[in-house]
Amino acid sequence: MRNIRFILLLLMVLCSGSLFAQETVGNVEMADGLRSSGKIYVVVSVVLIILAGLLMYLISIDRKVNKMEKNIEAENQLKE
Amino acid sequence: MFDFSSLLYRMNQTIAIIQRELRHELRSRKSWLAILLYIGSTVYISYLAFQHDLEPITWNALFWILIIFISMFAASGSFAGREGEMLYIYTLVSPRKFILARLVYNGLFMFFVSIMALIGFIFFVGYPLSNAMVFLANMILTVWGISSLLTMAFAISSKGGGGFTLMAVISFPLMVPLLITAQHLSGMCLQGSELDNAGGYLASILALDGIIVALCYLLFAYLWRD
Amino acid sequence: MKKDIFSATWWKALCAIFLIYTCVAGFLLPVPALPILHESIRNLYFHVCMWFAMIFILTVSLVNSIRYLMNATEDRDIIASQCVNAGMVFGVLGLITGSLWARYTWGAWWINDPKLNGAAISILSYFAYIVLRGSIDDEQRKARVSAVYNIFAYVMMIVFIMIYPRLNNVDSLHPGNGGNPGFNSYDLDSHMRMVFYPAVIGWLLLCVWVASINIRTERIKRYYLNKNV
Repeated sequence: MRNIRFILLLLMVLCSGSLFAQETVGNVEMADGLRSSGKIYVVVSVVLIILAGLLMYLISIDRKVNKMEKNIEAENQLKE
Repeated sequence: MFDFSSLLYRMNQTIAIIQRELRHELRSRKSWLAILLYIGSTVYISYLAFQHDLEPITWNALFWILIIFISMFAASGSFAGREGEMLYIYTLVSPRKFILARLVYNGLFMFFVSIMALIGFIFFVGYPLSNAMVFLANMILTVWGISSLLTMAFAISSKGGGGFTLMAVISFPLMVPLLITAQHLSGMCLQGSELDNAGGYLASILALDGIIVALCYLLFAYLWRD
Repeated sequence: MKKDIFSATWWKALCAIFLIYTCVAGFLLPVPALPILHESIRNLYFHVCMWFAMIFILTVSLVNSIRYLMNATEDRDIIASQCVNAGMVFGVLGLITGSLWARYTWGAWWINDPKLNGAAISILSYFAYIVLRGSIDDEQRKARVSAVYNIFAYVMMIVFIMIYPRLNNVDSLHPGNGGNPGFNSYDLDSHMRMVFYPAVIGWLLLCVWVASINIRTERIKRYYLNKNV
């Protein structure tokens, strides 16, 4: 078991000569194209519209529940 | 100071319940025979289907599937027709002793049953183990955990009135951590696999068992209050 | 009807502000450029926050289940059950978004990874909670039995998605196992933290908002049911 581990370690150390994952940051492609053409703002606007829609829906439900709770409060007040 | 005599007195009741369950089981033999039937039929069908050409991985999978089904059946116990007796026990004994007794009894029951399943499998379907000690330890610990979990699931589902399906639905997700660890470890015990850090896996199964038993012990009293 | 924290507006406004900030800054502010992830590291502000929100709301549910077992009031049961409902929405969203993210970074829709398995099984166990609640008719028994099961499910969830993937002998593709939960310990510089912390708070508050609407609706429902009985 130990021998196998040692051999594997040796193999991996030898392989490390050909690795390139640690290259400089500039080599990793990011969405610069999207950013430079300004299309990123389209993405942001889309997400904001979705978010705004969901938030408005939540607020409207919240208001309805508020109204129902006020009705119940009013009923209880009438009883007392 | 620690009072041994009162501890013995408290244990007496628990032991008495265990003995009662045992006596009932030996007398009626309903679940005993049903489980023997389960084991026998699975073993026989595997024998016919595989004819000793069984790969260790398949052996492992089949074995654990059998254990799961058997434990579902064993944990539900032969409660049918014993409602009167159960009511009698409810009034006499505190819930903690009752659940402890049931956990211990189910655990021992599953222990014997799983040993039988293992023997049946070894005789008819082949012996692919390379490290029997670790496999045995793994099986004993896991089976204890599964039976405790299923005992609790049965208690919950009996209060829920859903019977067997509800018990299966409730217990399966909770069993998965145990099963995954056990599967992994027993997979490593087969021929052709390396046994690596078995102690760690066994310790985690033991810890899971501890958590399950502690939770069962503490929470059963709340289910009981009916 | 009780006028408690669930009806207040201040934290809802805070939630909206934080979410809008997250969605704008999450796309426009710079992020570290890492291989494999590229721009999708921005998912940190969305996918990971789903899980934070789910665990938080399920913890609220657990606390209320324990409180219910200690002293049975109907309101605690309502909070516990509705929090689980809200938590499930976020959990499923977390699973779906995680799966989509995995498809484009790790190469497959689903991998045999302990954290993924743990998350899926935990969500399954909470679905079992919902099934359990549906199968009992008597209100008090339903509340008590589901409170007991809730404690089980929560403990198993914690074991399975937090403790188990961190064990030494378990390999996982998820970043951050061995570090803090959810933090990509190798790349979280101050840029990402500026968006990440408000994002967590925003999504967490959103989950609480959804749960609060569920809770208040359920209270109103029970009020009318109890009145007619």
